[in-house]
Amino acid sequence: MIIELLEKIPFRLVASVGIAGTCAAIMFHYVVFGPHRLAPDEAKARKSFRRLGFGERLIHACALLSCVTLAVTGLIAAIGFGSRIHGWLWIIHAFAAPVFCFALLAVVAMWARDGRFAGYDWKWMLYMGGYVGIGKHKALPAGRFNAGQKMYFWMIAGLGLLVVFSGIGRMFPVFSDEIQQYLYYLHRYATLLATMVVIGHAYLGTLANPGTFQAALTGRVSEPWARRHHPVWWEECVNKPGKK
Amino acid sequence: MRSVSVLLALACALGGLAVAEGDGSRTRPVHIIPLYDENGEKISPLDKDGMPFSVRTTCGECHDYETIALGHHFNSHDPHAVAGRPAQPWVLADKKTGTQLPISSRGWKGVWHPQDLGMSPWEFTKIFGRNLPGGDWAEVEEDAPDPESRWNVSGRLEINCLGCHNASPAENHSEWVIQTARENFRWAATASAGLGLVGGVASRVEETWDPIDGPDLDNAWATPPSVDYTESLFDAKDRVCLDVRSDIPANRCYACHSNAIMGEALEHIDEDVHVAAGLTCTDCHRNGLDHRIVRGSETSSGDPEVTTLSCRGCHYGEVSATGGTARGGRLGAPRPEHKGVPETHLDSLTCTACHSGPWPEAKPHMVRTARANRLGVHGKADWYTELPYISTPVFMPNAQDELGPHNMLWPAYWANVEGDAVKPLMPKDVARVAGEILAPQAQVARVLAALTPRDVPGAVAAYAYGGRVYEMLTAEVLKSEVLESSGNGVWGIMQKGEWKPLVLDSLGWTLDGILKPAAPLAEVQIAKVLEQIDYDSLSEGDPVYLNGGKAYRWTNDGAMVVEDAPAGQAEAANVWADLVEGEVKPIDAEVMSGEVQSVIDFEQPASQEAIAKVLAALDPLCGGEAVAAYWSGGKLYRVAGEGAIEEVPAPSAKPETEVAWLVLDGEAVRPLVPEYVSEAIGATSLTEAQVKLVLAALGSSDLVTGEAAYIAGGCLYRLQGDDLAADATHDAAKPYAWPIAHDVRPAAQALGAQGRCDDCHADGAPFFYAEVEPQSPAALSAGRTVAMWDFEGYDSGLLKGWERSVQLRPITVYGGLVAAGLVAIALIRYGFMALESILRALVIKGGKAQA
Repeated sequence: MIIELLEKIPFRLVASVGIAGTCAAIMFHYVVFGPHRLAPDEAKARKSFRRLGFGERLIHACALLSCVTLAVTGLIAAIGFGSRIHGWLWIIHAFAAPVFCFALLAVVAMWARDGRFAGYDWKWMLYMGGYVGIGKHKALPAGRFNAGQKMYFWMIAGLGLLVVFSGIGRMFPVFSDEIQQYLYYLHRYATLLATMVVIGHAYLGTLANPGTFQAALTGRVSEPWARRHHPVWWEECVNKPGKK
Repeated sequence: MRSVSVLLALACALGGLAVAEGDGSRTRPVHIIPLYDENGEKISPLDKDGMPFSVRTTCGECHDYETIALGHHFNSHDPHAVAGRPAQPWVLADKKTGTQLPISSRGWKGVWHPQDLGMSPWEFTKIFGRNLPGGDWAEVEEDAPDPESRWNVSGRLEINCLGCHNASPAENHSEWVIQTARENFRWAATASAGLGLVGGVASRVEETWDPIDGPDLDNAWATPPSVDYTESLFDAKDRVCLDVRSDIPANRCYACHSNAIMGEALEHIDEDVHVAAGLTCTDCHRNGLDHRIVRGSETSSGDPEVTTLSCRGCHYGEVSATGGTARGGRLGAPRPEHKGVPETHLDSLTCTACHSGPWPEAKPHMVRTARANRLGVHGKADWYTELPYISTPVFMPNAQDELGPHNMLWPAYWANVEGDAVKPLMPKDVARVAGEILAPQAQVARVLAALTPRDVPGAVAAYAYGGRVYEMLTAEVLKSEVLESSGNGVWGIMQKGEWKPLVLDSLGWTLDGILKPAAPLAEVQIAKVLEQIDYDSLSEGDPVYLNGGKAYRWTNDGAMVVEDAPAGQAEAANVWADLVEGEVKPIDAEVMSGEVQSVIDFEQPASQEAIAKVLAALDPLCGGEAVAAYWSGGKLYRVAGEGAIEEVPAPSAKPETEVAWLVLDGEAVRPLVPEYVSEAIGATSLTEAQVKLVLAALGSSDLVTGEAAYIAGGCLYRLQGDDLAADATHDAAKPYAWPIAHDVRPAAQALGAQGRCDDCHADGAPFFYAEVEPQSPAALSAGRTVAMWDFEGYDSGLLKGWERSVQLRPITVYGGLVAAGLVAIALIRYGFMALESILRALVIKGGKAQA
């Protein structure tokens, strides 16, 4: 019954609308609210803090590349061909999958502690991080990760878990083809949601917050950037010698 | 009595609907019915010169014959009939001309319409009548009848209802085959149903013969067909009880729909799981009165009830895009679970890909089918069932782009090529033009017939070539046995299993009887004389022959050994001696002369008379001005009169052998049979030399208006000078394949069952990597293979990547599972921590509120 219902929903359309809608929302946000730029004098600051270690950046890069590879290969088949993944796309997908599994595990192990919500995160959430105009120029309280990043983290962890489980669950000679069908749809929709979230994350990490992407590349951020976006963490860094 | 039948017919007509589709009762109608001949006359078993019963008039009394004739088994001649998906064609197979040509009037790509070949309905019926269920081409009315047709003698091959519906154990397909082979079309149904004994052969009867004429008492050979009904089958009202049923036993279908994997022992063959479970063919392949039988393809019908008789329809309840309500699980079909099989397989493969046909091997099996290879014809008939060569399973995409197993046949035929147009030639026409090129055994047999001595009991002429000795079986067929020592291209005599030369001149003595070696002796010849010396006790020690620094010594073990000549005898030439303790004692020349003569006498040595006798026997075979000649001792002889021979100048191109029987044509000599004949007599397929010769013959005949070509093994061959030019890309050479559905293997034997991904995704797995050999009745494409993935539409790089990904799968699966488990644990842990924090906050907040 549910399978028949799911079969009637054109995933090609849903995925197209989902991806296009996310991109449209990003464009809308960028045009209407604009990026969180630092003041010109702040942008020239030379003092910097190490925000991400080499291991963290490496794992983040692995997670990013494998996730993008999986999303692109899967969605090309779903949106481009309107079919299941096959041919070379499938092979690339199959090689990227184990990388993503281990990267996901590493990301969770590495950042789960930093992903815990704190009391001050309510304020960040109340202002929606300043992304919708209110509190845009305030330094909203945020630890190493702000509340949005924490939400993103747990969403990716949850969706990633579903994606991995639904992906490999079908390979075990345990589930009947009916359950496999459910897992297939779970894989599809979880992946779509994860992709939309990742696109949002990519926007916020680049266009919406200039200077953020450098942290993923070099691991270092400027003091004004840290003070502006992660004041609690900045204070911790300043007050704890050896954290620089 | 006629009035009774009229009443019966009237009753049937009044209840027409009930008769046509049944009234809903599941009782099986009892068929105690009178039989009628083709003129509508009721048959009496007492009429010894009676006509055979006619299905059209007998069954047609109640069942509309014309409606039945619309059925899939009977409508291939109708251009408006639904062709359906490609299926097994008729195969015009002829070993002599190396032909295996797929024929069908269904219009499938890769098959030839009978009319393309100029094949008339008469010819079609004659060739394929053995498996034709009657009707169809055998009842087509022609505007311009084939002048060679003899319908008036043979009668029409009516739809044989009993061939399928008769459950009687007396129903005999072999009898049907025999009667159609004799052109006894009108009598075939009567004979195969076991209603009486049918004698006579219509093909031998004058074409003006009419059944009313009765037998020709002056010509016992040309006995016309007749039927002697079995009286005990008829009741007092001249009715017979026929065990006719709509639930047709599978055995009836097997007559034309059996497959046999070559080389597979009968005891190793399992039934299709559906049959083993108690189903019959017609449980799925159903039809109504119109006999439009369900073929089992999902796309074959828009009717959901019909669609659910396909694999998916029955086991899943799925229907095609044409929609409708479908109920799966018919006849208790279980719903498959396919545990561990990624569901993409269900989209890209047919059910049969994993479940049907023989297990794929590194090279596809050869399969023989009832229709193509004339299986199931029991009796003493010595059918040649090897041709056509059909390979199975070959995995290819179907019209829906799903991979499935197919039977594959590589066409082989001679053709007239004009531009891009290729028109096959009928084998009988090719055979006429090719003449003896395609009958190498007949050429050798003719020589053997001339050489066989009439005065030596048990002796037959034989021809040794390629380690085998050939003897004549019939005028066109040889039999052979392995005999390594017999030589190559040598004519001789087989007597009591022993090979002998035609004449013993080969001992090396000159023809005028002077005991002087004319040529070096062969070891076997020396051995014979030494054995004779030993037998006559002419030596105290070992008999020995000294020549050329060698000593040929006869030992006590009864064998000859070759050694270096004893000291001082290195220069000895042609010396027969007694070797006693290393001392050489020459045997008296006179004694030796008699000794050798006794050998010559015993072995019927070559005298001029003996040689002349052989040459005289061969002369008539040489043709034209040519005569037979004998080459021996570096000289050439021919017959010079009664019992005499004469030497003629040796040819410039001397034979390579010491002794040979030749044809002397002018000043040139040639073998009694051409070299290509020697090569071809033992070959199981056409040789390259034969193909070249036939192409040359066809090219100069009026059969070919463009260019002669031979298509075989996936190539189109043309003559290019003295060589064959092969074109492996020509459309006319592409194989024809048709999907197979049976036998369905048990689920446990399905490809990939129980998580066995390696069944298909291992390096070299036959599903992708089997080497498909273009099977051909000509030895032209030996060693050429096509990879299975080529038929499947993949490239090898993709497959390699696929394999690597499958090899990576354990890491993905188990690593991914561990990763997912740990992530899940982390999520749960931190989830609980978050919950705890929220609850704690709520408690604190509540406490403050209370405070």
